[in-house]
Formats: sequence, C-alpha cells, structure tokens
Amino acid sequence: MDRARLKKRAQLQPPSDAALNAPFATTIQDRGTVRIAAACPSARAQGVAAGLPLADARARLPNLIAQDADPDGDAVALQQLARWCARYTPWTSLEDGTTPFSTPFSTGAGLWLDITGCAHLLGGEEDLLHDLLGRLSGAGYTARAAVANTPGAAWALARHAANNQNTCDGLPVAGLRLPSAMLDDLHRLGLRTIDDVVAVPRVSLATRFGTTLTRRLDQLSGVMGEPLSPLTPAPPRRARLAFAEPIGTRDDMDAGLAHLLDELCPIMEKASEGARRLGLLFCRMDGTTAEASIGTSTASRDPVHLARLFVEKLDAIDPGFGIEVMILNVLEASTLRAQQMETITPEHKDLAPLVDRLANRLGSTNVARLTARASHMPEQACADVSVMAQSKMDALTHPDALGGDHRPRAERPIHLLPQPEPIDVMAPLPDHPPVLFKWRQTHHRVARADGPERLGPAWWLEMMRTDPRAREPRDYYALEDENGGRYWVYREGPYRPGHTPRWYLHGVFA
Amino acid sequence: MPNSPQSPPNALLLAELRQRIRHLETPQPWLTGDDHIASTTCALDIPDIDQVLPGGGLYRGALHEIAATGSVNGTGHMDATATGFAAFLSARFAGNDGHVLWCRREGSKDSNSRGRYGPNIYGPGLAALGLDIRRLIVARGLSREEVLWAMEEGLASRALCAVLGEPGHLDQTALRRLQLAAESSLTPALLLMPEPAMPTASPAHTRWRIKPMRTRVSHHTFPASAPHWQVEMLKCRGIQVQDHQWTITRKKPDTGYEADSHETHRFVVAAGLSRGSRPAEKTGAITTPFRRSA
Repeated sequence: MDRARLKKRAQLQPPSDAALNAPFATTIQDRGTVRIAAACPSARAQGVAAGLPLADARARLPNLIAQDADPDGDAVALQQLARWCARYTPWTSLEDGTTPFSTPFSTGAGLWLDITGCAHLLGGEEDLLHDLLGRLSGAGYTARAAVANTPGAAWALARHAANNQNTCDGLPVAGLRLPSAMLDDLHRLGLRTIDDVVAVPRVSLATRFGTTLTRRLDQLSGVMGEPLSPLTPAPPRRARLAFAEPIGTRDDMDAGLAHLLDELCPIMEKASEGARRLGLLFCRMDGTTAEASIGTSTASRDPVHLARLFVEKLDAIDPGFGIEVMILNVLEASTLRAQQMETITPEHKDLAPLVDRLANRLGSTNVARLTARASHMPEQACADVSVMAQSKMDALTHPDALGGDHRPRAERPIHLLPQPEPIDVMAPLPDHPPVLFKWRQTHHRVARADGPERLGPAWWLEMMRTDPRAREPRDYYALEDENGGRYWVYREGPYRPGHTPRWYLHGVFA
Repeated sequence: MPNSPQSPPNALLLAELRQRIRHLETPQPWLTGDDHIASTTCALDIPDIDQVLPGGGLYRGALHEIAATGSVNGTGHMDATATGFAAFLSARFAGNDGHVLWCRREGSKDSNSRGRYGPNIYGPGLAALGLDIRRLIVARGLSREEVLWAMEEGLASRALCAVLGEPGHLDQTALRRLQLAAESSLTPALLLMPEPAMPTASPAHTRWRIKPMRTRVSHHTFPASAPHWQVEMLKCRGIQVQDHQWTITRKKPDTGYEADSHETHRFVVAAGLSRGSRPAEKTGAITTPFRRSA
C-alpha cells in the first residue's frame, strides 16, 4: 500500500513426470516409516497426499511410481530457477526461512519475484504471469503463481486461491503463513477464513495468539512492509537482451555480448564508472542458467577490452537447447574518470588489458606482484599479492621496505624455500658455520662461509606465544660449496651447552 | 658446439638492414630518428661480453634461451644460478621503468607439488640483481600450454620490456612461435629451460649456459653469497661462437644490498678470468663448424 509493490509468488511442486501418465510421488523416511513427501496431481486426485505412508499409497494406487526425495537437489534446482527468473526481474529470492522440501510433507517451495517496475516490459502483470507459467510448465514444472500488492497476499493467493480469484476474500486462514499449531487453534475457535480472523478485534487476537498473527495480517494488507532480500544482490547496472529465436552458436553469443556491452558502456561512461567485475547470465530454454564472470584489475568501460576478457569464458558455456535471454550485470564498479583515449607518443601501452587477460585465464591468485614489506623476517619480507588486489598491494608495500630501516644487512637468496628444510650438519665448533651439510640426500662440502646474521624473533607477534620455534633467534650463514653452489642456512637458537642445535636450509643464492 | 651457426661476413649487416626495414614497415612512434638501431639491442653492461655480441648487446625482438644445468644447486628442476642470470637479463632489458612478466609453471594448485618446477622466487633476492620487483608481474600456469599462452600474451601486448618464461620442455613449433611473437612486438622473450629439454636446433637468437663458480677472490671483499657465475654463450646469431666463456661477478661485491645504487647491479668479468676473445685454436675439435641448416 505504502509502496506500490507488486509481488508474485510461484508455488512449485516437485517436477512431475508429465510424460509418463503413471502417478508419481517422492518419498521420505520419517521415524521408521516411508511416507509420501510430494505427489503429482493425478496421484493427489486419488487421495495420495503428502504424509501418507507409502504402503497405504501403494494400496490405493498399485501403479504408483515412488522415488526417494532429494531435498538437496531440489534446493539447487530451486536456486537455479530463482536465477532463471532474473529474466523477469533482478529481484528474485527463495521463500525465506525454509529450505524447500526440508520439512517433511511441505506443500511445495516458493519463489518471490519483486516485479516492481518490470511488468510493463513484458506487456503487463497478466502477460508476465502467463509467460512465466507457460515457460515453467514447458520446462516440466507444475507451478501456481499470483501477482499481488504485498508478498503476504501473493503467498495466500498463489497457494489457496481458486481460479481467477484476485482478492483475498474467503481465503482460508492457512494463507496467513502461520505455524500449524496456531492454525489448529484458529480452526478450533471456528475461524476458518481470513475474513473471519479480520472480523475479530485485534486486541483479543494479540492476547490469544501473540504478535505473530497480527503481524501476518498487517503484512497481508500492506500496513506493515515486508522487504524481500534478493537471492543475488541486485547489480548496480545491468543490460538485458532477449532473442526472438533462441540462439545456440558461439558467433551469436559474441554478437549478443557486444550488443550488451555497447548498451552498458555508455551508461557507465555517463556515470563516470568503470566495471571491476562483470557477470554474464544466460537463460536457457529449459529454465536453467549458465553464468560467466570476469574481473578487471583496474576499472574499465572499454567494450573491446571487456569482450576480449569474455572470449575464453564463453568457450565453456553450453547453450543447451538454446539461449533465449542474455543478461549482463555489473557486479562491481568503481569510479573511472573520463580519460583521454590516445596520447601523442605512447611510451608503453597500458598494462591493464594484459593483466586482466592473464588473470581471467590463469585465475586471479595466479597473477601476482611481489611486494616488499616492512619486516626483518625473511618469510614476511616479501609476499605475493594478486594483481586484482591492487589497492591492497599499495597499502602493503612499505615505502621503506627495500631501503630504510628494514633493508637487509646482508644478501638475500633468489629462491626462498616455502618451509625451511632441516639439514644434517657437521660443524667443528657449536658456534661455527658448518663444514659439511647434507640437504635432500646430497652432501655439500662447504668451501666458504659468511655470517652469522642474527635475526631475532618477532616478539610482538601472537605466534610467539603459541609456537616455541618462533621464539628462537636465527643465526643465518651464507655458504658456498665446492661446486660454487651458494646456500642460505641458519642455526636455530644460540649455542647452549648440552644442546644440539638444529640447522635449516632456507634459501639458495643465485 | 654442434649448432654454432656459420654466417657469411655480411650477416651482421644483413640483420641490421632487416631490422631497419621492419621498423620502416611498422610504425613505432616511440622509436624516432636514428637511435632506433641502438634501441633494438640491449647492452648487458659487461664490456667483454657486449663487444662480442652483434650490435653491442642482445636483440630485443628475439628469443634468448638460458640453459639450466639443474642439479648443481639441487633445487629440483631449476637452478638458482640460471634463474639469477635470467633475472639479471630481464633487469637489463627493463631498464629503469620497464615492466617484466615472469611466467612460471606450478605443479598443481592445491597439492603439495606446488613449486615442483622451481621454488618460490624471492623479491629481495631479485632486487639485488637489479630487477625492480614493483614492476614485475608473476604469472603462474598449471601446464606448459598455460605458461606458453601467458608468454605469448605478454609478448603480443607490447606493454612489457621483457617476458621471462619457465615452461619446461618445448618443441620446435612452440619455440618458433615465441621467436615470431618476440620479433613482431620487439619484446625480448627469455626462456629458462632445463638443458636436457632443449632441442639442438632452435630459432632462438642466443643460448646461454650459466654455472655457479667457486669464488676465487679475497674472502674479505667478496661475500660467499654474492653471485659468481661462469657464463657460456652456446649460440649467437650472426657470429661464430667459439669457446665464448666468461666468469662474471658483481662489480662492487661488498656493497651487498643497495637497492637504489645502479653500480650494485653491474656485473664485470672477474679479473684474469676472461676467456671471451680467446682464439679458436684452443678448441681444436671444431675445425669445420656446422652450417646451420634452417
């Protein structure tokens, strides 16, 4: 009421095997008994209802085909369907609170579609509803749907309305989304329809049933708003392209993408925005969806560049029976000021397109920059940070890391082992560098040694308290073996009488 | 040296003319005037080596192979010395403000075999060789194909000053593709390969083999950790390679780690060890060098 919101609710039952005329039902284990979880319309007509033991159902319908219910699969399918409904509106969500079919004998699962401002695109609410139901039944789903001004009313109408009814008059109280115990109480009081409940003074309802009932009534009438959370956050910008005939070839997909980008990029340019993450949603004929997404290291609104990033991703898209709608969502955008497109003497071409292409093919974590950090511990002095986290990197890179106070006093190896590897060492004196060491099954006779460079433990770190090894100072030595190989080894802890020090190899010099 | 190309005396001239024509054909606004011949090569800043190389340095638009002898340092597939030399070359190509792409091959994303094709490269160590790690992009591919793809993308982008790759074994076709990509974009491609995996015939411009050397200078001026390499040029287009070996070392070894000092990153031929311009009769075995077939 307060906002002219239109909600539609589709009530779904498990996919019924329309092709086979035999009655069909799914079953669920309930306290040692196999019971019907859901049944197809023809089975329901014969009295096979949810909750009936399978043995009884078989007695009534000997040709009943029963199959174990698959709640997880149903949940996934419903999610898919909710995403597919994005062809009508970006604001789709699952019925809240319940994972569909998880409660035994539920009457079906629901989807919410907030079609505010979207209905006219499909020729009005009636046409949209008709289109939705037609497509769902074409995909093999039995569905009921209703459009109403509030989610509560849509819920009640979709579940309990007779044909062509579009007001809540005379609907049963079950349409109020109440717990079953409360419904039983209402029935015992003789309140059968919603009208009956509305007629009772609110005060007595509140004392008898608490606020649940009055809240549901208010949500039904629209006195109380009921926001719906979309399944996927509504993207800031999107472009949608519906095809008159379903497409299936790669060339058509490319053309569609180019069309969408041409539509979206000027909008972003006007808003001084550039895309950081783009998602391309393909709605197939059979109600399933496929998605491809790309990321960019710096904001971009260059259609050619963005299309190139999708090239490899589109290879993986299976058009199935045909794609009827393509939707391009800007999942993440950031400010991008107007730029001069060409400079007179391009010193070097922009690095960003290359980085984006690499990151989208190899994975964003596999394209990295090395950052120097302000730490004297060799493991922490250098980290690699994904190119996609550019801002993070700038924050991490310490301006003085390569110079200043944290500059290492001695040479650092070119290879640092991920974990220091223990080595067997022969040292003439406990406090001396080794003369012989064995690493990875190979003996190395040390020709020259430099050191020690003592690196103290980082006492200010939490790790210090938990890991006793982190408490030991390390004495690093650079060793050169007889063949010229150069290694970086350290002794853990200072010399203590009666204690054999442990040695580790930590890196290899160039 | 089975693959040393024997070239007619005017091969160098021909190569230069070809480069010149290529530049006339492809407009490159940042190469103006006559200095474009100079900028197609990059000097190593080691005079003994540069004077041997045609054009006074390594060609930018070309493939350069670095053979990793591998087992010397025992770090698995790659050895630190060859990696260090590759890093040094890319640093030379990159100059003061160029970007470098380093394409590495990882064993697998999640298993423990990460680093099977060489341990992690370490930023401070690279910086000591003159490579500015702020302008280094590391790309990791799971397969040879991914690494090659990344290298070709990098070469084709023209946004980089050098592309360094460690794809593992490569065949002729892949090498040829890299050489062509490097040629057309004028971006040097450096290939770090285990020596056994190297094909004898290759379209590369140069091939190098680097071995670590025992330091033979005073202990007090030269730390054990400073690079001391035996650099062997196995092949170089345009010249007849005969026993081209140098032992190079850091010019100012005792300064260690000064990130901002250019002098630090300079290498010189270690005193008394230059064998670069030694006459051919030393290697008596090669009297009639093989003629390059391709």
